[in-house]
Amino acid sequence: MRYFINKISLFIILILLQILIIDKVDLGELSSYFCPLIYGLLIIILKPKTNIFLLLILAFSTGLIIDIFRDTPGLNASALLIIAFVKKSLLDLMFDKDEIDEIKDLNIYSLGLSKFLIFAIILLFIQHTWFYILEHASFYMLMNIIIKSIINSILATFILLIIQYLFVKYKHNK
Amino acid sequence: MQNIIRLIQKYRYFIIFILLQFFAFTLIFSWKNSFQHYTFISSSNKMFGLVYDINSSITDYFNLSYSNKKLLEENSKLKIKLYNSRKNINRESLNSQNVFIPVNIISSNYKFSNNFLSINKGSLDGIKINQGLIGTLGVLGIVISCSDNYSSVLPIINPKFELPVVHEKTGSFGLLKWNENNSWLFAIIDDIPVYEKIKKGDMFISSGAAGIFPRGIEIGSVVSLKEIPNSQFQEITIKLVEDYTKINSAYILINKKQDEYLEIIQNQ
Repeated sequence: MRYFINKISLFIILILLQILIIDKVDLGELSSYFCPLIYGLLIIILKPKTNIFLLLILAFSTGLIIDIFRDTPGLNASALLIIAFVKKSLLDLMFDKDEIDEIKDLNIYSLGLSKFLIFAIILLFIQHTWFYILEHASFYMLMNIIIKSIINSILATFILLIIQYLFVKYKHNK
Repeated sequence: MQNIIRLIQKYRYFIIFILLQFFAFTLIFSWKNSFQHYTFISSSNKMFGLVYDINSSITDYFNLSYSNKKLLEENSKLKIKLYNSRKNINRESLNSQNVFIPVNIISSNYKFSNNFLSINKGSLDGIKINQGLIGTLGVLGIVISCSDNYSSVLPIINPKFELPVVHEKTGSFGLLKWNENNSWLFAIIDDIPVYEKIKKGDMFISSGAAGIFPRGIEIGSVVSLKEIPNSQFQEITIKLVEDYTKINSAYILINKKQDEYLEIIQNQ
């Protein structure tokens, strides 16, 4: 129960943070380079045993909510679906089966800092690249797309790290 | 048949993924032609609009001073157009050279007998002594001193203030004054003959005679009339259009032909 309340509040906080703060940050000419997609962080840190069907539906609806706010139907939903789908395979690729079964909650303490960062940054990079390719609807500005994805996935990982240090207690997860 | 079902079972997550992805793509590529998407999937939706509404009701306060400044700039442009239009040139050649500078009133006295205003612009912005200050409604005062970045203004509510004014309907001239007996809401007009038919509620406007304000800027409306005994004149009390307790933004009125005008007046 505590787990659910925890995640639902994180869900709402992330959406509001994305819509009301990160989307409004104004850096002048550099504004187009600063747009980390952080609403997907919840999908990343849900526990590995979560039903994939549930994960897909959650990802789609989260993306759609952001789409409604940003007036870009389908764009964010599509990008977030990728994360939800790739996450399981990536976990299997990076860790042993037994290791994953023991983990109750995905965070910096249960996975270890470096592995957690690699895991998050790969997922976020995939999401950002997919998002920008769809947004530009061409490969014409490929260099631009890659630079944007790298910058923003690093930024998003950084924000994820802050959230982890702020809200995850070490004691709970051992 | 069983094989197909087994196949679907094996790849069920992949199939759901493809279905949802397909749905997302239909949204992306069919968005612009569809009315339904505009009404359902857009931030103008009532529930989602509410979030933005609440947000802007909070964040608007941060931009308030900025948007105020923008509005003042726009207003000053409009006023330049208004007072420099052809209509006004024919009526009053003075009006063709009026420029407005938006200023903020940073301090305003109204309780004392010698009241002064301070504004946040000075000689670096082109402000000089004897230029007029008008608020959003009407005349506020005259600049009496300026430093580089700030200026001091003599408002109507100061005993030293004098300005020739005109009754809007009859066109008879008078002199606007103020003394300590009046509150900051009222002022006195002298030198209007008894035979002029002036009623309560009539408006007095600036006459343009001093070369500071162009003709036609509002000053106040008549509240009470009193005959001065043993003379041909009456004393008129007016209620000022500007409330000195609530003024915030105003315009400095620069009359580029003021010097030329004053020269002619002095040669008379």
